Amino acid sequence: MSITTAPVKSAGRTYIRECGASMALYVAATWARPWLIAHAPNHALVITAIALPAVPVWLLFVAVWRYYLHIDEYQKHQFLLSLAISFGLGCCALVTYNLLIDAGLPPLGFSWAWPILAIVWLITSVTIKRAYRP
Amino acid sequence: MKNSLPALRAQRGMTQGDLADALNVSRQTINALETERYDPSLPLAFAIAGLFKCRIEDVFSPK
Repeated sequence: MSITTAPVKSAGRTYIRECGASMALYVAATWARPWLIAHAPNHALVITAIALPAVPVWLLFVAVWRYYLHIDEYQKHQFLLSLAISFGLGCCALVTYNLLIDAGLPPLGFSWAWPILAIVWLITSVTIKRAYRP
Repeated sequence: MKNSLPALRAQRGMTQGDLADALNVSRQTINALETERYDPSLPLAFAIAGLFKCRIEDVFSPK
């Protein structure tokens, strides 16, 4: 009897490949965005160019979701634990920083939220993996 | 939970990797089960018992 129909062994490699491709697309879209905005012939294409980096962000979400579907239950346990802890820590850090803006810290744009959460998630994932290592 | 996974696996000459492949889980999961750092879900416990052709309580027991 099989517990998962997904290829557990290749989940990590597939995730790294899809995640890397999404990140590369994000960098390319962010880099090309100002040129595309400046040279867009009409308003609809300007809006498209403005929103272009969002596409790889959504692709990254799909990559994470596919990874979650392909891992086994013990890996899911670690994955969800790191996600929950990093979400809590990331939100607390953002709220704290937002309050400290009144104390003179430079205001951060809303677009900083995802990179901060991603960095906290990365650190938490590595910590959880080390903690669960045999 | 305590378990007799290492003994059952050894009886059949299986490595952790063989067992992981048979159950479609990672080798780390088998290692975590054997070292009692992780308690399996009921579906996985049934799958393990089914693989070794025994009852769940023959494989797992409360500490």
